[in-house]
Amino acid sequence: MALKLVQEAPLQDADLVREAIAGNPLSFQLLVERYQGRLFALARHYTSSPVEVEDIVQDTFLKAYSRLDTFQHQSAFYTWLYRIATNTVLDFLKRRGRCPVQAVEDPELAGSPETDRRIVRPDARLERQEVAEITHAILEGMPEIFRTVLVMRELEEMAYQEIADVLDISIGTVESRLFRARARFKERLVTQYPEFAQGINE
Amino acid sequence: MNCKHARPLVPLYVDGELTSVQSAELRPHLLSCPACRSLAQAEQSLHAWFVPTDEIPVPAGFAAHVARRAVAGDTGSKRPLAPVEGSGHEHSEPILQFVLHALAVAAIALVVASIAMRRLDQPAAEELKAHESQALDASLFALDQINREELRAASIFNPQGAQEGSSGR
Ligand SMILES: [Zn+2]
Repeated sequence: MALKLVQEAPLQDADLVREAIAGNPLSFQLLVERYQGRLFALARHYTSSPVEVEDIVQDTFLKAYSRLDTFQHQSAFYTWLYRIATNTVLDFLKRRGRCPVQAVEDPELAGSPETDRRIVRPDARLERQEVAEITHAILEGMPEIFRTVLVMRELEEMAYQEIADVLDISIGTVESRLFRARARFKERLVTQYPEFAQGINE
Repeated sequence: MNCKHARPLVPLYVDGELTSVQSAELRPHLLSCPACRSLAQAEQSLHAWFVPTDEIPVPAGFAAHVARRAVAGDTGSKRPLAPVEGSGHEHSEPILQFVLHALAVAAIALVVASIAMRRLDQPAAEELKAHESQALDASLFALDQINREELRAASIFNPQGAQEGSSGR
């Protein structure tokens, strides 16, 4: 695996970072090219506006460059970059005032046993894009701490450990946050879109 | 394994976060217990809502543009948000043209103003210099906005026409 990477990409992230710090702008451009697609996809999970997506990604790279010397080489460059991107997104959501920040430890959000067992598959009549729009609308109204874990797990398909690294929290916290985030997501689905997300109790 | 032990493991099982030993222990219980099995199905059903969305393409020349700004000392966080009305709305072409035009006029005015101020800088007042640099910052920002809008317009209205590296910034 490592050997394969060396063959395919002779310039490792760490090398490019070192060269960029040494003052080679092309090295940084190569890093941007390497990860711009993934960051565009990431930002897209939080907004559907191309202008906003571009702003978030640009801001992320500019912040990353300005503190490139703080990159410790202990984690993967992308993990580090992803963390900056997530902070940029949170900052952006805060400034836009779209997303409630509160509700950190609300036991009511834990969901009820009935909700847990409810099967909320998207209605077969829905087009893929319609499903995506409903999901996006529900995520929009969720507190940031839940929204970020859902995006990371369900859309980015990151492992718990990766989520923990990016958010700088323990795996146990990832677990409980994700659990509560899903319960709340489900609750909203069945209350806001009962016609498409019928709760089937089996 | 009983339900009390199985329940908290179900989300982890669905997420593929259990070790193979733990999974092997849980599986027989899921097969024999309808309650825990439906819990697992409920967890799985949620995943179907998270479908890939339409991609937003990276504009041509984006990396070069960002690298240039980064090297020029732009740290990103202090810039105001782009003046976008709402989100997810496509600009109609005439409005975009108008915005581009208005921005261009504003930028030229600012550049002219800053040059004029520099000419007037005879009394060598410190405050004038402060104003000048502010005006210059503003005009650079406005110019940058135009560049970005142009690039975006090129990629929206002429996806094939925007060639790599021809953004001219
Ligand atoms: Zn059971």
